[in-house]
Amino acid sequence: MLHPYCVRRAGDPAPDPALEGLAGAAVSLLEGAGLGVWLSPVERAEPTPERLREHDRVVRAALRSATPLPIRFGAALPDEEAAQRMLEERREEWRAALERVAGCVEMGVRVDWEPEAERAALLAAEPRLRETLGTPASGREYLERRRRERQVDELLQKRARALLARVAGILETGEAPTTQTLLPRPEVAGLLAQLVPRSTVGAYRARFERARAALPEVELHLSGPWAPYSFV
Amino acid sequence: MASEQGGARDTAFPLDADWELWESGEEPHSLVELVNRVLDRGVVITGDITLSVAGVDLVYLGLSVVLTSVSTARRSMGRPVGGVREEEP
Repeated sequence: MLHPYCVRRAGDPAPDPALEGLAGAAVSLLEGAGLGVWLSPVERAEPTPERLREHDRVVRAALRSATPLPIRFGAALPDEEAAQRMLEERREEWRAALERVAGCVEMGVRVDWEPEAERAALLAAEPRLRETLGTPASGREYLERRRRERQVDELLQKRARALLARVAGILETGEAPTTQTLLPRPEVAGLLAQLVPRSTVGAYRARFERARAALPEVELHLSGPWAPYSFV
Repeated sequence: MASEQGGARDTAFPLDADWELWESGEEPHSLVELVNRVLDRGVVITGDITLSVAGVDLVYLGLSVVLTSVSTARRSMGRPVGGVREEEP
């Protein structure tokens, strides 16, 4: 089986012969349909942290010379013929996607907050919601409590959305394609992924520091540059 | 936006401190960000699947099963699934 890492344009630099892919396997380039795909022979690709890091390391190596389309981990191709067929079938779609991300990298911002503090602040502002959050004494009270808990969740989501909008505002990337994930888990208000020209990464980091200073009540984490995982 | 660049070829990324900092992999929680991208984003291809979750092989299954198996894989790795993902133009 062949494990695919990423798709590039034909003629983009080939992988370094010393580059190690999954479990140390060599990485090769297969070209066709004006595209190229980076591949390694594998027995089986288990989604362990090591394998995921190895996959991304190869994608990252490609990103250094030209922005690739990263392939999601978890699929394999039986042979080179199948890889060639895949390039033919996806030719138009992938060429257009490569044009869209050319010259860009993905930056990721994670906004952590204190879920309990946020909830407490919310209840302090809305005493009406706080009243029924004790132990219910009847079925009717139970249903009422459920209803109000849903309201609290909705308000938390609203706060998270407003917070992310503030962060995005300070990052000044109004034009940049953005993907946003609200409350992926309670302690994370949201995730932002933004596609920015690679020459602006330094400026992006500077604006991120400004956002961090402006919002001391939450914790901001920056990651990247990534290949454009969130924009393909 | 990338699409406004007229499809200009990439220029080599300047090997500045920003890039090297990330490459060092010292960022806390970087594995969470990595898992979120590598397993849940990126181009989906319909190859033959070699994912194996909890000892159950999912070879030669279709795309819908891949998506399920990825969620399962993330749960089994102790990673959260979901969140409300919103796309903006």
